[in-house]
Amino acid sequence: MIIGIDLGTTNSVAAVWRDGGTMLIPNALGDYLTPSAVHLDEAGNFHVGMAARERMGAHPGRTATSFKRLMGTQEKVRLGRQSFLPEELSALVLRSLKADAEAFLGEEVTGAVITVPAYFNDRQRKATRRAGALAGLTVSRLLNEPTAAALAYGLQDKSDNEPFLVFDLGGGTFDVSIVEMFDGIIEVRASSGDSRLGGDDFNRCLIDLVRPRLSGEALDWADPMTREARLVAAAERARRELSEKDSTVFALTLGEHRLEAEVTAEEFEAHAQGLLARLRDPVLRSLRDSNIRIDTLSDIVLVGGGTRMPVVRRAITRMFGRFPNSNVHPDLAVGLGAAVQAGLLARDAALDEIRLTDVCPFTLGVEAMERDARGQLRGGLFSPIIERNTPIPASRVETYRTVSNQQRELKFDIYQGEAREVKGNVLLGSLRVPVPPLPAGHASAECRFSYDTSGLLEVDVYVPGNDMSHNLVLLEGADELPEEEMTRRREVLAALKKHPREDAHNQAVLARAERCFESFIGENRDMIGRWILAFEGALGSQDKRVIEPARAELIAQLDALEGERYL
Amino acid sequence: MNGRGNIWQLLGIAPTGDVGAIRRAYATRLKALDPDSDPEGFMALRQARDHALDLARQGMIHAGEAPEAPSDAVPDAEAPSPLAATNPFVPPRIEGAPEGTIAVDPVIETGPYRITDPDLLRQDAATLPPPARLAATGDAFATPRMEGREGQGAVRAFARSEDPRAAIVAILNRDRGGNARLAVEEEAALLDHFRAAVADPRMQQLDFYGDSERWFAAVIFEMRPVADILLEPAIEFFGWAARSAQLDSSPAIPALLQYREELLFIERVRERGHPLRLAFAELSTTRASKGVVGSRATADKVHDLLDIVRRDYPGVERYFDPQRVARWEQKLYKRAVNGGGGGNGTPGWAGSAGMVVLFLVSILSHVFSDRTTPVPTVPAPAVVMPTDLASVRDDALRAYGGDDFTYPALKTANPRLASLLDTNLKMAQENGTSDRTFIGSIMAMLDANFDNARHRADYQLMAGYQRARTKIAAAIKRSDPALCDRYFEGSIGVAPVSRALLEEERNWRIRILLATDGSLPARPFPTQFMVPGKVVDTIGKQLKLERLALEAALQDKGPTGTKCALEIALRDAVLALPVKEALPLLHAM
Repeated sequence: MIIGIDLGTTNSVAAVWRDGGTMLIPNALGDYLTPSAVHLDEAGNFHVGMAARERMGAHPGRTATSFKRLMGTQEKVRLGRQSFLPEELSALVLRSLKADAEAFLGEEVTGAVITVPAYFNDRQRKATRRAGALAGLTVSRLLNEPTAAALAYGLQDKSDNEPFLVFDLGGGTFDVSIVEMFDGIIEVRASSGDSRLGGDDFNRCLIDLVRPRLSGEALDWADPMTREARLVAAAERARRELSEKDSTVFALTLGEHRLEAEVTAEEFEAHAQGLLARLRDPVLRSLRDSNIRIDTLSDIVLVGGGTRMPVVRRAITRMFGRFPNSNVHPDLAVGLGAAVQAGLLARDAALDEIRLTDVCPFTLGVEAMERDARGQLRGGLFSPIIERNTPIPASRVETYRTVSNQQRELKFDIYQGEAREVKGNVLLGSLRVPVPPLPAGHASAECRFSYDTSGLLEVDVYVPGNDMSHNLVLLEGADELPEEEMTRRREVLAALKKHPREDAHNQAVLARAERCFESFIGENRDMIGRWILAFEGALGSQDKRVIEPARAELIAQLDALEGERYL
Repeated sequence: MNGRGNIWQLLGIAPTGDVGAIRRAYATRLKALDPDSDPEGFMALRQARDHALDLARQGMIHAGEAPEAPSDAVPDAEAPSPLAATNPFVPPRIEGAPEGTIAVDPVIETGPYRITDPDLLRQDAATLPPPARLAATGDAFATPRMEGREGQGAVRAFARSEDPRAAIVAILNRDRGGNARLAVEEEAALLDHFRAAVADPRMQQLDFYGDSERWFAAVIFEMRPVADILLEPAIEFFGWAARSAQLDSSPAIPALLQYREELLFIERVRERGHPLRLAFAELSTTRASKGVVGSRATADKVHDLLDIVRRDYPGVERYFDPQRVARWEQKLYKRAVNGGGGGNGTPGWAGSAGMVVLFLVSILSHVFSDRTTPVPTVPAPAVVMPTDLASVRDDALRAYGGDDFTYPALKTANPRLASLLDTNLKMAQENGTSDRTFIGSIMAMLDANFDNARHRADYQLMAGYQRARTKIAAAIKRSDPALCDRYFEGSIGVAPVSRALLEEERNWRIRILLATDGSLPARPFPTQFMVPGKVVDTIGKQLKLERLALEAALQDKGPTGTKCALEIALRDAVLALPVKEALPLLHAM
């Protein structure tokens, strides 16, 4: 059984194609959205999801969020005394989703279609695939997020569509895709984005704005990790408030101190102009690449939590001169699209008339030298082999020649990006091939780039002179692991102590209560303390009939106090 | 493009201009195919469809019904605005400028520039609809209705009287009689109009923004230097500096950024206290009549300036007077050859080993091949009588190798060579060749054999031969360096040195000739060869030559006397090497 998973920066979603349609998979709390967060408690148990996120404010040193931003790097995150790679943390989230799916569907889940931002580079994609493997899932396909949303949107409205634009602003990444649908074929025309722009950046922006207004001392003395975590949480809250109201109070608690400052929506918008301007370039680029004018677009489809912000919506409206579409659920569309892809891969009969083709959003090439008008050789230039927005799967070959006599080898440095000079692009890997010693220009090598439908790159170099072929494994150092190593790591992860799934809901509510305890002071705090004791007492009874009502009551109490929890 | 057959075959339909039909055909074919397992097939199909759509949209298919309006063409239903009518990818046409797309390395021509694109200059407000506004509606998510007009989408029109772009065009187009300078008021006006243009609320709309960006890039680029005042503000507003290095920018943008760098460089270099200020002033004055004046220091600076300009700011060279530059280049070479050591930034001899491959590859054959056969002086016969070719042969031999080089001696020493001579003689007698021709043929044959032998003879012979030549060359050099160059080119008859030296060389030559085995060379002799780094080092040190000058000399471009010194030094150096290393070089020389 293959499911679709949206592995998001802030939240993750699992869904499945069943009975001719998509079906969302609820987690142990009954929610469709599972926060992408991991917490390691003092007893050595792991919590994933809401229970983990709620603990971020109180235990930032033992909790990890937004680790999607680190995917593709070797940067480890500390949880207590242990460190984890971002792909290992993602694997824990995927494991949890897998368990939820198995509980819901009643059968084993062996594979998944996992979504990635369209602008994820090769390393980031490979890290995602490893995360799947570490979670015990075969990753059948990596699907670009805006494409997934386009799938969900297209299926919902099956008529032929003029090109529409998917505007996907998630927690950490921004993607734009221009998609066309005709006769059941969903075709991505162009894709662009910014893998370092998302809702989190708007949080940062708000924090920068408000920070000078918060009375300083408590802020300075607090432990930095706690301070940052609380600021981010407060920013998240305030940002959401500003979606509905013109002004709000940015508030956080540090120890015994409560820090507050007022902030208006207008100020926020003014301060966020820099971020909003960054939204423009990827859109312009994909429009130009597909040679489409804005008024030809039939729709602007908004995806991702970031598009809920009124500042973003206003910017979009101004950009396009019209109001965007809100027909898909911004948080769930990508997950649903992944489920559709899973169904396509399973060749479900209901999807018989549907096909999806995607493009690669980057230009891929190698470093090369060129002779300029003066006959001088210039190095460090980027020679593209596959241009961006080439439909995938794609395969292109270019021939390169030696520049000096008796040159012994050709060195291929493989880059991904759009800059003319390679120093502006991302280095993916390197390959040296020996060539026969010949006068300059006579020895050559053919370099073939092949891009598969998951957007993963393979490089083959063939030297006609000595009839040798070379294949490049595009990973450096610790990136690619041999099979045994992968198995070992998978087993390590599997062996981690996890809180039982049945207990997840309790844990989440308890964590929320503890967070509220930290956030409030004075009488409210004492009150919450009493509630927690009561609930813990109920938990101790180990009797479901006692626990469930107690939990419901605690939830109600917390809702009354802080408003409904948000996802 | 499609190596797998006709595009229509791949699509499975007859050639048609119907876009819908093409897409449907593609859809059908795609569904029957699995891109994962057949990527080539998918690529071919996709390319076929794209090609077919291109053809259809260009109206090149006439079979069947009229093509339906392609969905993503630029709609011209609304009144065209100056922006919409222009293809956004083509810059405005400039009268007097070369056709075609903007080149990255443009040539600035002076002359009257006028923007003549009628769409850009459209002035008639009556044909343009009034600017549209979003109608206020209750439902925030309803598609807005434009007041005063049906239809969706943003409007790109603007009325003439408020159009800052038209104003900019008007100012730039003013006839200045070839003078590219703007008056102060004009510059201020341009800036004002630019500010107004970017403050336009429609800049928030992407299409408008994108079009404006392209428009400004094109206009500022084409109207250099008149529009220079707008360069900085445009770069800042559109953020071109950050995007400069992108492959996808329209070519005007990196060209403009390079242009700006050059302008900034010129500004810097003209400031007081800039080390290259004098050098810049020197090169950019155009009074060609004035001789080159400058102290040594200025020469250093001129060298640096030229270096920097040619490497980083090639456009700045426009500002230099070519005559002065040429004179200075010559001066620089002379200075380098005559012992200008270090100090001006060129790399010293450290690390020269690494330079071998690059610059010695360009050694030309005639630099090192020795054309040494002296031109024989055949006495013109006083009386024309039937000559005995055999005696002509003897004369030739004597001229080539001296009195001892007689036919019998040759026969004993190298019978094969002698028999070649015999064949030659017989043929000449049979054909009735004239004396001169016969001598010529003998000489040629001896030359060829000598050449053959020269590339294979043993070390002793080769070394001896080169030593003798070196001695002669040194002797010539002492008296007349210019002549010495020509010695190595083989263009002097008899070297004006002592008889003893000449004989010594001749003897070696004969010995080599006699060592020939007469076989044809297995492959042509290389005309280029690599000299090991240490030899280069030695030569360089001995001659105290800078790399520039050395390179030039090797290519026969240096001043007189350099080549001679180089050749001598080269031989000295090679002869100093151990036998094994020296021999291949001697063979190649």
